[in-house]
Amino acid sequence: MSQDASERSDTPTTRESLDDARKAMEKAVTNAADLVRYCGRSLVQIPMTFRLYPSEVFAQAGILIRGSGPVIVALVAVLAVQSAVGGHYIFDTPGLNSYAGAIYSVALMRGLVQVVFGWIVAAKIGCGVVAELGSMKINEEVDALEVMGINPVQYLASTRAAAGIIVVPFLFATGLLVEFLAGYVGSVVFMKTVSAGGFFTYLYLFQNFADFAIALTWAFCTGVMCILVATYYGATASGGPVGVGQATARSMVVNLVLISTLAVVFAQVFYGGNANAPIGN
Amino acid sequence: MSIEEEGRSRDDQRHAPGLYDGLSPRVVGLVPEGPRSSIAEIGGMLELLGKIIWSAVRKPYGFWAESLDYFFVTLRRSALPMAAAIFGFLLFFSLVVVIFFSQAGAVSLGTAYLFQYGFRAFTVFVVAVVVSGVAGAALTTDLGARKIREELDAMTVMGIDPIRELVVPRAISLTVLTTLISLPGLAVTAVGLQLGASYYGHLSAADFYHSLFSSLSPLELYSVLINCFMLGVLITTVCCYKGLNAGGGSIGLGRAVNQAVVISYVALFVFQLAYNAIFLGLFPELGRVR
Repeated sequence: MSQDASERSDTPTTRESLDDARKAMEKAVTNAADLVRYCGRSLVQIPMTFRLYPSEVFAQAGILIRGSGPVIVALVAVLAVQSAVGGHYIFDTPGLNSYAGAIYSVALMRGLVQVVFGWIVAAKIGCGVVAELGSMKINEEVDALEVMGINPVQYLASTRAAAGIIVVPFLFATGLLVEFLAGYVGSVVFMKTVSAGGFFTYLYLFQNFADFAIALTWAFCTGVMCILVATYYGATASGGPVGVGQATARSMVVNLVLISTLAVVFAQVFYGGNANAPIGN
Repeated sequence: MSIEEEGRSRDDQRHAPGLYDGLSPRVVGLVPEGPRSSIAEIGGMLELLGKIIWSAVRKPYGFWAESLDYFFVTLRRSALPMAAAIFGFLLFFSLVVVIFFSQAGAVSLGTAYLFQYGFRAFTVFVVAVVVSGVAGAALTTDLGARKIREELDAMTVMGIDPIRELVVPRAISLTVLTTLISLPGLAVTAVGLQLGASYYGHLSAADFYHSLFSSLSPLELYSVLINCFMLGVLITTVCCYKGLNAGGGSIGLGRAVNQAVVISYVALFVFQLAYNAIFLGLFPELGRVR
């Protein structure tokens, strides 16, 4: 019987590979539905979490700020300096030097910072959450919580999501400020692409409050989504220590794909019909 | 005089240097704990990289078939998410900037710039980020699982070098993967920009590709390949190191994957900054649109 199976698996017929594909697709759809259901459940229970476990929410928020804040802000700063270096050689040759400030308010603030922010949140916060919750699940601590009459979704997932909801906007606003400052350091101090006055003129000419609101909404959705996906993969980890590692890797994959998808949707929704630029208006 | 005292006085006279008595251990002792452990980690990664290269170069046979197998497995497992992430990012990037350039009425001029800047900075970037997030995390999980299950120790006991048998094929295939996947990434960047330019800026494809290919030079393509190769080596080293040094049960493995991805990202960002600064500083005329 097993020999039969192995012979067949060597040369799969069309019907078999179709069956495999259908099974894989069914599994993917089921997983996605589970993911959405879990995230919805943990979002719905956030008000109750604030009432029952406020200290846990703020403890998680503190962990996010202290543990992940510096890394996120530092990498956004590196991104800005890197754009300053690349932008110098792009803008300098044709003599567009004075527009260097627009790099930070157009190219970066309209999506790149949000996407990079999402990557780092997914890597630093998301994978950490999966590792933590997954090992709790493997060590049957989640079952112990349930036995004690504590709702694990509420206590573990919703607290982290609530902490993310509190922290992510402020973290992103800080990151944006640091991006502008690092851009100043890169473009004005290091590369000498543009003067300080020219930098700030074009930096603030090409953005208004709508841009900031869009950027904040975008980053908020991306960051909270990464944390929610991570709580799902942590809560469904199974299969020993190896399972935790696999769940961590899988959450990273799903987050990367979702961040890119969300970026396309947001770019089309917010900037597709209206460039929101002080040109021709 | 007791034996101990005699020994001590003899030590005082000759002061035979012990293992940790030299200058460098004393200097290391002065470094505070935080920087010391990160320096030790970087040293461990470099040591691992050296071992991998030495092992692969000294006997360059016996692992190519396995590398090919692993390459195929990685590609089959992570091609779809990598394609989705890379394509989505580049599409969004080209949308945002093409919309802006079309507002300024400079689509035909702007796209060539955009492509140069886009692929130099962001195609390479997103390829490396996605490879380290998808394939690198899987590699760390794979090696870390073997470490946790003590398979690596068993191999060592049996006289099989785990670096030769496990790490070298994976390292080669991941490096080659990172290098080669930049080529479809470049194609996606071009096509995404062209779609964006024709949809938002009403620029014909002929005009777009004409301005694109007239301002490209082979040097840029080589630069992208070299850059991606270096990033591949970086990601591979970090992920292999973290996998081989995983420990501490289930949370240890999860944390190893977490740290592998975070360290890869930090290293990648900093490396990209340095690479771009050096490369563009050496060839400043590449920014010109011909």
